[in-house]
Amino acid sequence: MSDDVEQVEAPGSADEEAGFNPNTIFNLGKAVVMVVDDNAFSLKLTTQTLLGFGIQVRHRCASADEAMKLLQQATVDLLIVDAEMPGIDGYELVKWLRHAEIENSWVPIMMVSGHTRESKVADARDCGANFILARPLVPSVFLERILWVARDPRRMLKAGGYNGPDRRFQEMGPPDGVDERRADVLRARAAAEAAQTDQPLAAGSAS
Amino acid sequence: MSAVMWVMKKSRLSQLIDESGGTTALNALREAERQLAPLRDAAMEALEAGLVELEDMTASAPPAGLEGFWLDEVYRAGGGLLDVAGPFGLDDMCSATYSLCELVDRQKRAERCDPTTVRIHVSSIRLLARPDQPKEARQAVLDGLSRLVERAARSPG
Repeated sequence: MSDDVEQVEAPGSADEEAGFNPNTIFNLGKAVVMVVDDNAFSLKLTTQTLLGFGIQVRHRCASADEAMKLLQQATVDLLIVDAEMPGIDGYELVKWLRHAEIENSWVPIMMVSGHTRESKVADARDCGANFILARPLVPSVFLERILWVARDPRRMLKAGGYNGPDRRFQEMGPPDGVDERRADVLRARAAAEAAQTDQPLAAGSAS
Repeated sequence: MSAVMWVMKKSRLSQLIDESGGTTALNALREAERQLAPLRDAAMEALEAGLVELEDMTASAPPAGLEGFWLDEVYRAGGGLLDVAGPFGLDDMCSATYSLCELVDRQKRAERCDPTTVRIHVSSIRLLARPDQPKEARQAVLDGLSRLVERAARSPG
């Protein structure tokens, strides 16, 4: 076990909040970013969008193979990976990195996916990326996710073959501007129904 | 229950983001638009080329025995459109392309190939690539595609 890993039994809690508003100030001018995309034009669009955000893309890779070599040589701060690529796809690349036990293994990772085949849903869930962003890659959503991933309060973990961020969001509450969670809606509805019928509400009945 | 090993490593990104200087999210978005504007014409050309490829590919039914390969190629071409359409407000076209990918994925999983429904999708993408269609008409097209995909999901393999 490496020095930066500790074994504990209890899960951690998330006490920071993700999200952004238009006045949020951020500075990622010094971030070393790698973008991996087999589509040259898509890579260009991503690079230019990031440039607008004040982020210089230091490494551009057209394949997972190329990225794997570079990731073993240079330290990066953020990895943005296209999910669908010929040969080794984005999911395999991310899973490899999370298990590679190299300097970059725990780098924040955003996957970008146009359409996810049903056969790839489990790979998407289990590869260890911090977020999966659906195309079309709209700049406002892209920036929001970058700010999320930079301030992602979830700790990284290894559990049962999964290496990546803690996938449990239940203690975080909804991000800014997002409606309350379904469980809360159900709980509120159950409370309203119980009030109407004067029935006591059982604890946890809507969870 | 498997043991959990927590990785006590804070990302450098989380430290960099709060360094002094930088910009606001609003300014960043405006600057991103400025950076992307010169690419718009090239993106439209790439979309047109991708759409023509898709139309050529689906103009006739696939040869017997090559249906799976054909569906994979259509999926790849559709994914290529989604790759470049993103930042330029072609939401309806993207929705139709996403629907095509979903349809093709479902047909591939069910080991059946229905070129007619694929062609309807490709024609709809072409239609929605034109900016002069009224909103109601665009929505009607998308609703129709959605029904096609749902019907494909219910059809026996």
